[in-house]
Amino acid sequence: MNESSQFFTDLRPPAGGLQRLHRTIHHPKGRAHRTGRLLVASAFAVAFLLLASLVPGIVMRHRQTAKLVSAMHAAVAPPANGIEVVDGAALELPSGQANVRLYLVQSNAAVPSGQNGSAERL
Amino acid sequence: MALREDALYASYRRLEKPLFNVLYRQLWHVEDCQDVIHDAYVRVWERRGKVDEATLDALVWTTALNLAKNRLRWRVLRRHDVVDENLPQLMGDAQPMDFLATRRLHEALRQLPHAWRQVLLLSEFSGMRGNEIAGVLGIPAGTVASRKHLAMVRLKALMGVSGNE
Repeated sequence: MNESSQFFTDLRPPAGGLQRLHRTIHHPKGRAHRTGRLLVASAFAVAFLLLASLVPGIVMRHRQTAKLVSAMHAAVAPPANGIEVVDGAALELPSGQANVRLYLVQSNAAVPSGQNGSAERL
Repeated sequence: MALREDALYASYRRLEKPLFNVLYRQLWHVEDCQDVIHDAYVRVWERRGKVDEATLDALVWTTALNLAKNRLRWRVLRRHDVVDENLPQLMGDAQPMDFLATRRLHEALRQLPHAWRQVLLLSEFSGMRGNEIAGVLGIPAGTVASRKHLAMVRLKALMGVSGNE
């Protein structure tokens, strides 16, 4: 008899343990079900991570495209207090003189080959 | 040499009570103990092709103690402290005096270092000798003896029992 036996009382485990083990061994469905649920959860987690990593890139590209489009619009828009071009576009160029404005004018009409555009003093 | 189903059940009948007594005094939760015992046997059964029936009981002890350790680690990580005292239900026909003494003993056991408590409980309930306990825990037999001695001295001090009793 152990020296410690004077202290310890035998506890009785609740009944039904062996039956539970028997059920698990003969019907391991519960375990397969748990594995299935784990797989589904893993698939969701992977999809979420993928989405989380892709969405910022898509948003960033969209913003860059929007910026580019607005920059292009600004580039082809007629300058304030400048000239108005019908059926074409004009871009103000730096002239170097305060009383001189320099524009690059491009017509939308068909341009004969060899004449791409012209700079005019107005 | 594959493990037979009837050998597994025989081992369960043999070890359920000692396992429960050791595990309850580590986990302090009846359902956790039942789950650990069940999971240990299921794991052993899943590896039945490699299990030698001669070492089955030792393997079950090692597996169950490792699962209990994992559960305790999980509780520490989640700051999940369990105090489950279903003692009257577990002690069956014991007297109220026994119930109070057992409760005091459990309070003292909680204050022992885990490694000492494990050796003490295995010596008390598993029916294994010192060298077998050493094999299950993966420590030298001398360490088993010293931990058991230290655990007993501390337990007696905590219970207010003199060394001459």
